Amino acid sequence: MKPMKRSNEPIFWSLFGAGGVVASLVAPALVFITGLALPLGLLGPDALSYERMLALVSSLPGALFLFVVISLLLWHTMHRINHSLHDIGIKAGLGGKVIFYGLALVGTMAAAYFLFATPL
Amino acid sequence: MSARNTYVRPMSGWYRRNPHFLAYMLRELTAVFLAGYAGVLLAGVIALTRGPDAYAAFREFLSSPLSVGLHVLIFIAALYNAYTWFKVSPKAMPPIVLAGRRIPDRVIVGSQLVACVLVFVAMLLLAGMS
Amino acid sequence: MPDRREIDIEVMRYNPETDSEPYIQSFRVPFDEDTSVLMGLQYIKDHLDGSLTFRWSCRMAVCGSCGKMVNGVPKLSCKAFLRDYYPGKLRIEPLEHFPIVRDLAVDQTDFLEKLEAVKPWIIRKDEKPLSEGTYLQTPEEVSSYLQFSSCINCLLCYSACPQYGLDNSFTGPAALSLLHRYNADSRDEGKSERMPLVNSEEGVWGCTLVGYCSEVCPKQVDPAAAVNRGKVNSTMDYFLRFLTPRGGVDS
Ligand code: SF4
Ligand code: FES
Repeated sequence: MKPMKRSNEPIFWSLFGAGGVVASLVAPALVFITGLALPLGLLGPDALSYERMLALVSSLPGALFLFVVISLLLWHTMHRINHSLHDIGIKAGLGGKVIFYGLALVGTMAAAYFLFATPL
Repeated sequence: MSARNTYVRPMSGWYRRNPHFLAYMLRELTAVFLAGYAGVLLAGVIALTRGPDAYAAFREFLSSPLSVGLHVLIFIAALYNAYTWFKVSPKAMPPIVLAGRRIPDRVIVGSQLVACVLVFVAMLLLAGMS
Repeated sequence: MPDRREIDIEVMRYNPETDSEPYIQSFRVPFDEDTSVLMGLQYIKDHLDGSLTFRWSCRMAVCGSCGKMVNGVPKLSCKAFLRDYYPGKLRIEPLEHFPIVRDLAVDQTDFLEKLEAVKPWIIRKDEKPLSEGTYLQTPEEVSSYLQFSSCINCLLCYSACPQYGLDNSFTGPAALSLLHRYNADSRDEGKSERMPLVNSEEGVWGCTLVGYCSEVCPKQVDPAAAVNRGKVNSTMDYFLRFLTPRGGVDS
């Protein structure tokens, strides 16, 4: 039998798994708050105001939280989308990996830049 | 190896053949919506760094019917994804043994559902306080 | 109380010598409360068309040779009953994702090669002599692999696995479950020989946790759990090899 080549899926699967925890535990609440409760006026008058959000992203824990959520959600979803191509019969191979994991990487770097390196 | 004239059936449209596969494809599809939400969050952060006007425009967008409609879909996708995630989670962890008895899968799934509800309530309270 | 109802059974037929592709043939079969799907097929072979080809042996869900697709679901035909499909009809096809040899018989060669590749036996560095007695295990040590040792190689899980259907270089649920069964056995010392396969694209990483394999398994092996614990093991192996000279593989 031919020698087996070690897959580097463990890297992406770990990020996918961590992102899965964020997606299942935190995402439903976040989506509801920012996407539905806020626009429908279910929250207090000050909720998610500019001042409060600025205070949030200016604090290290707040910025870290948003960074983790944005980045890991991207790694989670891009991993799935990449595999879905294979499921529907598109053999994207290395190109798929470059595009989708590349997107996750770009999103991660953008989040880091705006959360940690941009003067407020 | 064999010269037998075997017949291999095609795979096209396999996910339409069985409700279980359809549910699987729906689970994978939630990724598209959740990726979109990551984009919304990133856009919000960028708007924040641009100042009050940009942030006001971002909130304006969140209030548009288009955004609310999309977020209804994203919310449903997030809930479905969470449900499927908790349901299969016992498969990806080593068996947990407490006092010589293996914790049943439904206890593991159930406690995660409870945790999810707690997080939901806590975050809603945090965000709603003014 | 005589109970002689009749049910329609549609069977996929394929004769490699005359057919270029399979076709469906319908039979009307009498049945009662105890008639299994397998007995329905046997009725067809005995009374309606002696050329119908299918595999079976034990008739009691032990040998694993009678798997068929019944209305699109992989089933042991000796463990499924015609009464449960009445008043509807049945469509019986060969196990999905395997090449059809003839009628309902498929070619399992690919699986048998994969089974061998996972080294499904206990590997010891040095065997202790018989005089020293057997290898002892605690109930806990036994429970860590017991469910994965119930596999009867019926291949229902392969027919439930679209990843195997899409790309049959994937080692697949049953073989990976057997692999995990030996890796998780405290008497075994062969983990390092099996990890290269686990770690490869053809190993656990071909799985996207569709999870249907575990639902169709007639022996509650839960192959999806074995494969995904394999992913955890492979991930530890991947990162720990930088920390330990033996690459995180124990023993
Ligand atoms: S794991 Fe279950 S379904 Fe798969 S071959 Fe073994 S007994 Fe059959
Ligand atoms: S005939 Fe043996 S398992 Fe069905």
